[in-house]
Amino acid sequence: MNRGTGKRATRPLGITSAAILLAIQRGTSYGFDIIERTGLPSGTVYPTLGRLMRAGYLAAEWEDRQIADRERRPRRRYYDLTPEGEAALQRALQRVALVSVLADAEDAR
Amino acid sequence: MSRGQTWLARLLLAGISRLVPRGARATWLEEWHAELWHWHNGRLGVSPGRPTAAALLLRVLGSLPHALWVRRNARRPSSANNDPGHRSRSVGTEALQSWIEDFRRSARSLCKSPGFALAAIFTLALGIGANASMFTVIDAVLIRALPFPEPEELFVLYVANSESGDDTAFSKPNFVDTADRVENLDSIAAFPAMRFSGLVLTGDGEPEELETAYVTGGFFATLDVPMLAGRGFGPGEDEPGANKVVVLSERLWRQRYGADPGIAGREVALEGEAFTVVGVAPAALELPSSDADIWAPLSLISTDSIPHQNRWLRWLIAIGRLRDGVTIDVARDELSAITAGLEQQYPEDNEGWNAAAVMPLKEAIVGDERHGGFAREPEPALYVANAQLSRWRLVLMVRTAGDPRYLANAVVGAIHEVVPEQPIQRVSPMTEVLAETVSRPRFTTLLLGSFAALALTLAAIAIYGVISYTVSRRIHEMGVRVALGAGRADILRMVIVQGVTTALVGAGIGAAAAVALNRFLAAMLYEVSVIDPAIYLSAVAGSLAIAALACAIPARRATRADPVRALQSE
Repeated sequence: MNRGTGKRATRPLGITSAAILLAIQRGTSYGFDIIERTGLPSGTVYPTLGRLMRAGYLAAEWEDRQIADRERRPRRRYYDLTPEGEAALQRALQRVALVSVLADAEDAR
Repeated sequence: MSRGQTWLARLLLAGISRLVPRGARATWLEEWHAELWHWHNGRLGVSPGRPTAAALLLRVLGSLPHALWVRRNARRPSSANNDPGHRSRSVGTEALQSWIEDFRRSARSLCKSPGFALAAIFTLALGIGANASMFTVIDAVLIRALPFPEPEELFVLYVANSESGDDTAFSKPNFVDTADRVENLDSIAAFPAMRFSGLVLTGDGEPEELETAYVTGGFFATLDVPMLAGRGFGPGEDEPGANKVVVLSERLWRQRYGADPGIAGREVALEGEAFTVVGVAPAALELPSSDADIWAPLSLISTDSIPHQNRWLRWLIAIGRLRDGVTIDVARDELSAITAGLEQQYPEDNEGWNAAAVMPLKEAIVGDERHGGFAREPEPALYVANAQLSRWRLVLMVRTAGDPRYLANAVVGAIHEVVPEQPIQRVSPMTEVLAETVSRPRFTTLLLGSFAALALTLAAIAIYGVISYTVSRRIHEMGVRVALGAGRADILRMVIVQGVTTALVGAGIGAAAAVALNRFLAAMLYEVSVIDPAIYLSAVAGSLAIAALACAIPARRATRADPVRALQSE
């Protein structure tokens, strides 16, 4: 980390951001679905989705209205990871994986 | 959803959507309508039945943080500076968001164990409430400073002898001349240094001699006492012929007149004559004495009791308020010049008394005599010859070489040798008198202080308990956060916010309880105000400080949260 300098210093993803990115990577793609999958409250999920979009980690797209009309439901807004989002999630998962290795090693002992 | 619920949800969403900037509002509304639709239908799939109105309301209110977030971010450019994965230049905004997020998380965590949280919060509220109440009483009864506006401008004035260095009170003619001539004082007033017979209330109910404080016309204006009703004495109301006016004490007003708000202007019968009540003074006014039932013009003291026109009989304590911008030295010099002038003008009566001395009112009060007991605020005093006021009960003080108890009989015998029929009420050593006087207030203070300390300790234990418990519940989550890269500062912030949230909720409830308790106490004790902002702020600040301290141990534990352990248990 490069805190306190003028350069962009990478800061780890928060637990909420990581959970949402992971849920989207695993196929959940619209707001309600993400809320159901992560168990996070809507008041947290939507602002976090907004923050991740602003950060360039997520892209969003409204589905075709005809599809929604055919299925007799409101239109959904689908979210997807951008390459930057994918990279950020991978960095977070690598950290967790590293700790997991330590945990496994400790378990084996 | 029923039609009514749909209508309610749409209305509420439409209201919240007003927070969202116009350009983003349509998208925001569409996404939230879809969210509610999916929530309702998904929920039906899991557990059939209509959602309750409360559940629906909570769900719709979930859109509020999103709306606020969109609004806050509408003016910020979308750039890497807003990247949650990067330190942005707007570190302050990001930090604020983290704090807000932590507060929300803490509130949710408290809601997850409502029984425990409620018990902790109510213990805390009890501690804070009891403290606020107790300190209000302690402050009102034991600590409070002079209850006058700008008390530092108030001084007691003395006539001084420049040769001997002695100082004394004013005679009435000297006081009147000084008041006429002085320019550097805003106002000046006087009251007798000794007690005179009180006026007898004859009109309403049983006749009753009232403890009467006789004061000059400028007394209330000088002290600038905030009156509970009506006003103090006006100019000229101390003059014979215009002096049938009185100011009631708060105690008399409440006890005898049922705190009648329309008392000012009402007539009361004193000594068989009609007097007009011009106002009610607050209980905090303890001048000239804390026992006063009424204040009356000085000119009502009978000339049989004391010759008003005598210039050498010095019996008036004078007080003055400095004019704005005038220093005390300037005022003293002017008063000295006036006194010197009066010496020259009336040398037979004023010989030697040619200067002035001044003392801040607070010092003068504290530095004087303790006639009302050692624990009471001292009151201004002047020594007079016993022969002048022979009706007073006499207390004889004797200094002994050894234990005074062995000499008690000898002293009584010596008195009876002079006056055989003299009844003697009591012979006690001074140490015993002192112990009797201070024991009760000392006990009361100790008791109140102990309760306050106990309440504070309970509050600290309650916060420690709830924080410790919530940290132990969240230790796994903290381990995962550390695994994801959260720093020590992030974890510390989480724990402290948790403690402060609990303390704030407790402080809110405690403050409300204290207001209710003080309302009850105010009905029984004088000078206890229901809402004293300084005390409430101190109580809340104190509880927050205790919350921060109580967080210290759980916070240490939390920062040691082991990510390996956290993932082992996954």
